[in-house]
Amino acid sequence: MKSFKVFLLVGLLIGAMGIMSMAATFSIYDWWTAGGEAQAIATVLNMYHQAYPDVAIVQNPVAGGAGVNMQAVIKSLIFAGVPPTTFQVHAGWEMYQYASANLLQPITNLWQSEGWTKVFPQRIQQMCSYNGQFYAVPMDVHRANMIWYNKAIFDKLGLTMPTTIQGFINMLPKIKAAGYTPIALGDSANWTTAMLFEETLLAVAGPDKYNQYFEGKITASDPAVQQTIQYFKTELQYVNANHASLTWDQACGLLVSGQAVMTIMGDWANGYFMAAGWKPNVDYGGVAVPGTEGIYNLVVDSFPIPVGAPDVQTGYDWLKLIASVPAQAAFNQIKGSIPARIDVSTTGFNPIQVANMEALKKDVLTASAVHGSEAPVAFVTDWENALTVIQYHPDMSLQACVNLLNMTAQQDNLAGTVASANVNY
Amino acid sequence: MRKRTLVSIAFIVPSVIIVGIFVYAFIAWTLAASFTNWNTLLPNWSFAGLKNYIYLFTQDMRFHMDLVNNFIFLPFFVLGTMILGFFLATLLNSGIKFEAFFRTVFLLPMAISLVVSGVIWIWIYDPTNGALASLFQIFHLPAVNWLGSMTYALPAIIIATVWQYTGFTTSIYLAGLRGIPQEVIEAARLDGAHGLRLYWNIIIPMVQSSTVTAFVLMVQLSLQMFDIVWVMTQGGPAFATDMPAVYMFIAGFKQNFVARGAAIAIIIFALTLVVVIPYLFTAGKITEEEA
Repeated sequence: MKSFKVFLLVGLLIGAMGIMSMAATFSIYDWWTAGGEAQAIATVLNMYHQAYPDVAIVQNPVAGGAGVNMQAVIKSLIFAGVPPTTFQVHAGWEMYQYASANLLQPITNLWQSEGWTKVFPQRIQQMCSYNGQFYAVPMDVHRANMIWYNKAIFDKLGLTMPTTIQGFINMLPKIKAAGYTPIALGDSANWTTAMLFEETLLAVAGPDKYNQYFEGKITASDPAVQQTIQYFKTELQYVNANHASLTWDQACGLLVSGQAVMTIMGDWANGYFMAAGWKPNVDYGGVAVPGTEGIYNLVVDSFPIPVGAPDVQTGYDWLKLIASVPAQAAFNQIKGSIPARIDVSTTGFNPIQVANMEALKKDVLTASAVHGSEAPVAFVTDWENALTVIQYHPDMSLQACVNLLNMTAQQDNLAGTVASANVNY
Repeated sequence: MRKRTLVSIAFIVPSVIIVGIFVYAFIAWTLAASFTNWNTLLPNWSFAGLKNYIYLFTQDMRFHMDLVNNFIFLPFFVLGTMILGFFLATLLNSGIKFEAFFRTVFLLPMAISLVVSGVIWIWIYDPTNGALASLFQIFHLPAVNWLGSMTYALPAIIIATVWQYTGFTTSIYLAGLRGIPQEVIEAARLDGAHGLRLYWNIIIPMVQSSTVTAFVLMVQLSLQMFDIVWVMTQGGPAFATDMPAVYMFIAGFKQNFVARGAAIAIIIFALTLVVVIPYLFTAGKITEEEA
């Protein structure tokens, strides 16, 4: 009797293992672990589960380091020969590093058969392709060149948002004299400082020169970059004293508590303010950084299929789902970004998102270097560190700053790396 | 006898194989990678000679700052943990009441993951709501932005790591102190050795092997310091707390400079060997003497 039970148990176990191995598995890596973004990805994964109930979903969120920790995991998995079905990657150079090493599957056929080339903007298509082939599908669009401000303080001080970067710089001493911190900054991770520089560069240099700088075609010796360095150093004099121990969202909190007036941050800040109970265009405003009106600096999260991905069909199904209108709408309404598709209805989005959805259709599109899209990752890492060195040595001369930035570009062979890659700007 | 030898060999072989693969083979692999041009995502085993090492030592500003930081960190960390550890071990060994309780209190930090204690220390150092800031407020001292200051960030990290590892040196010294025969100390007392003299002439020399062990382990830990720095500052502000191991991680996994990362790893390894090899000789000598 006892042995019969054992047999039954073993039989059941073997049977269960058989069923498990028959079902397809969809494994996905992402770094969306914070409140709103975790909820957004969970919503889309739930849509996937509804559409493909037989597929076992294995989600592997890796927290921290703006994706650095996850990239370390992904690279290890790919080289160990056990890549996941798909993983989150910033479109542009962060994706190019895998595509150029032939580690991603070309999905040009999918892009054509699904008609995606008609619904995604041209620049985003470039960021999802390498050497004439498509490798990734965009899930959302964030705008890096945004400035957020506390409306009550703006009204109290009688301020309006300037339209030029010089006007913005002129406004800073007035705000400080009124007893407020003009710019909230939270650079416990140094990418936020780099964003301050990047968006200022975009305002000073304009989109063409901005691209040329990150292609290595012009250097920091260019007058536009020199002017940017000077503005950047001025801006840093008007940030909160405890910037280094805050994160970007804690810096946004300084606006909510009325200590600071403005912050330059991507539109993920929109999600933060909404979660804090603020009403867009009532309690806070969010517009393009002064001098960058008409330019949309993109941060695009996308998903590729690595070579050797298991159950690859589940990956194609995922890409079709995330490119669809319902998924793009549902995901981005929760996350605070906007759909990468330009044919999604604005219903259900907040007014700042709606304004950005309109802007995406007509603006000049550039890509954010800080977020791994505009320039090679190795260079961006050193460039961000160089900017931090400039930040913490306020008495460094302009020439010394220029030399440091040029040395960084030279040591990482920026111009050579960009020229030898088959990418479009 | 023969059978016993065979059995002992059978027991040793698996661990030799595992250590051989997962320690020595990987060190050899890293060494080989450090001499290549593999500074791309895809493996590139073409021979580059000393190129990566020369770059690190002659051109790489970040690496220079890392070495400076590491050599500032090292003496404070090593002496801090050893002196505090010896002091606490002496207290625990002095027949204090509730000794087991205090021993647990002192050893507990060691059991906490470095990542967890890093987060705890971030809260302590927070300039607006942190424990230290509240303490400063009581005494009407100005708020200091510990982790955001070029001057204070490294000392702040040293304090956090000393806190974490003092339990470790305490336990090493406690074992050493417990190993001193009571008769020796009584004989010294009869001969008139008291207080500091007793410690200086009798006790400290008799825990020499604990001192050497603690020293080597602490030096090795400080040369490989990564976790707590990564959690607390990621090497910032502006490289003020950057360490070779942090750069190794960034170079290898973010920037795809695999060969450069490997070269950094080998340099850390070589620096560790400088301390460990003399230890292996002296450790053998001390055990012989004590025996």
